[in-house]
Amino acid sequence: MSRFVLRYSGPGTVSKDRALQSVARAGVRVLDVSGPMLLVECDAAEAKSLRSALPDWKIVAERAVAARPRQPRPRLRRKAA
Amino acid sequence: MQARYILLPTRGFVASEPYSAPATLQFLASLTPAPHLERPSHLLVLDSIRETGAKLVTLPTGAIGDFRRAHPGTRIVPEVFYQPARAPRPSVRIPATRSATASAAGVVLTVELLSDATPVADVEVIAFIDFAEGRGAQGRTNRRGQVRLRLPATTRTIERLYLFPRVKAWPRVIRNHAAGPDPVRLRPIEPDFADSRAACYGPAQDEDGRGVTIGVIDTGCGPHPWLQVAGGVNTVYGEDETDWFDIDGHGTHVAGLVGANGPTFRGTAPAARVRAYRVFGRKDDGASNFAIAKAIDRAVADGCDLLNMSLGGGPLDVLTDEAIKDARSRGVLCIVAAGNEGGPVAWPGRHALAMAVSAVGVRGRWPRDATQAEEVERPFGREFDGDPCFIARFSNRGPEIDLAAPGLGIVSTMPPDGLGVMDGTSMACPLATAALACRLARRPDVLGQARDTARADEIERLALTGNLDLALPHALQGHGMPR
Repeated sequence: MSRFVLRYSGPGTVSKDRALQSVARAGVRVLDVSGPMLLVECDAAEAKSLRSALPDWKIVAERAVAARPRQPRPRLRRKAA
Repeated sequence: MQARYILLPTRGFVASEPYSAPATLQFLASLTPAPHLERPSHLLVLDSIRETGAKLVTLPTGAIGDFRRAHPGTRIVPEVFYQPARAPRPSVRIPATRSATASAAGVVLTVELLSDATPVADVEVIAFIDFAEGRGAQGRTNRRGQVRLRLPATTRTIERLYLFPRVKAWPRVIRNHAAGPDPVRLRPIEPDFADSRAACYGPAQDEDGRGVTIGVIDTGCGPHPWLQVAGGVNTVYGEDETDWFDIDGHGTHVAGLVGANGPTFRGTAPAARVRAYRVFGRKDDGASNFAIAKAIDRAVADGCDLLNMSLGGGPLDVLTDEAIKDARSRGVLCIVAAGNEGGPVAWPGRHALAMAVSAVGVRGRWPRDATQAEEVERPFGREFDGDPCFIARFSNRGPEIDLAAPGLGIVSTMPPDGLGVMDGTSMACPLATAALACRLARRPDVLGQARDTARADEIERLALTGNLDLALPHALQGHGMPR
């Protein structure tokens, strides 16, 4: 199971209820809802079926796009022992 | 020198309401291709995708600033060319003839404050016995200020010893350190020390930034007695939404540079309202695109005017892209760190509708032996009280850089109640944001404007106008340092 983000990209205002119904029909679990976005947990095949059921929504895999901020540091390439 | 660029509407590659302001729509529609004509105008349109779509143009490289100020809702991106993806070839790093080192017994190092010889805990220690080869050991000091380094017991000299304290003291590098029982001493942070930020900005005024709300999208903020945070949200899935306090220290340092207001330390916009959005989880994972997009969405809904994003480095991502564009369409500008790899500007800093910030240093604005001296790189630019500025060696650079601000050897707040020194475009970003907040506070006509694309365009115009020219190439300083 992976996590996917659905973001409304259609015209006018977001129809979240309809999207939630489609997601429920597909048996997919909704983890979080925020503004025009849903975070869901499903497998790739279910995400594909959601894509066709919800043409006005962009569906992308959730992934880390920024690493924990690190200070620039000199790097060890080899341990001394 | 002429170069080729692509002009794009505020959103998508074909202009349409409501995503682009009417002025942007009219401007793009007025540009028709004329590849065989020499125009008196400095702008030559070579090709177009539909009437109001993307335009391929040539422009003098020195005219980009004027162009962006005149047409802030129109994105201008360099024409780029992709190379075949050839597999990298292996390279020799360690000579095969070198013999293995003897087993380690360890070397114990004690770190103290120079002022009163108290032990300094939580110092990251990196010791090289062969710097060129990258051979050495690292660790972190305990409460007694001690660290055991896994170096051969026969070690007499540490070729380079780096010490990075979390709080209280300046980082230090020592060359050819004689391993022995004597403690290593670090210079304490004096709150009135004139770092690169103080050299460039001078002291903040009481009212600087009043009326402006800044969302800090980071590792959380505070607690710190000198930092008033108006509220926040943790957008990391599976964690408590109300737990937006700092899990790292980075976000507090960033937020302090914007809005700290203490007896001995102040941010650059101390009257601005700061809101915290934590996108980094308690596990050592990166920030997910959902957490960032949700933070942007919440910050815009909470009435933030500017969003500070001292993060980046991941792949180009459509969700982050859409969230930045959505914020823009709701009148909010994202200011993003360029990244610390010494290479091209990282994502999302290179987003065409965000402001990417590079890191400036002012030579000598750190104690003797401080690690910052190793980040000095030519060319040198404008002088501040006789000390030249430069772009730090680690700072990313390129045509996407919009602004430059101090980011080397920067003092700011660290939880729970201290001060620490950090380096990075992460520090430059909030200083540019705070300087822009000060300007925005003096422009109630823009601040009070309806929250739409035209408002964000005006804020971008403010960000790009009247900056201090650091006398450095455009790829390093962008449109200069906002003050």
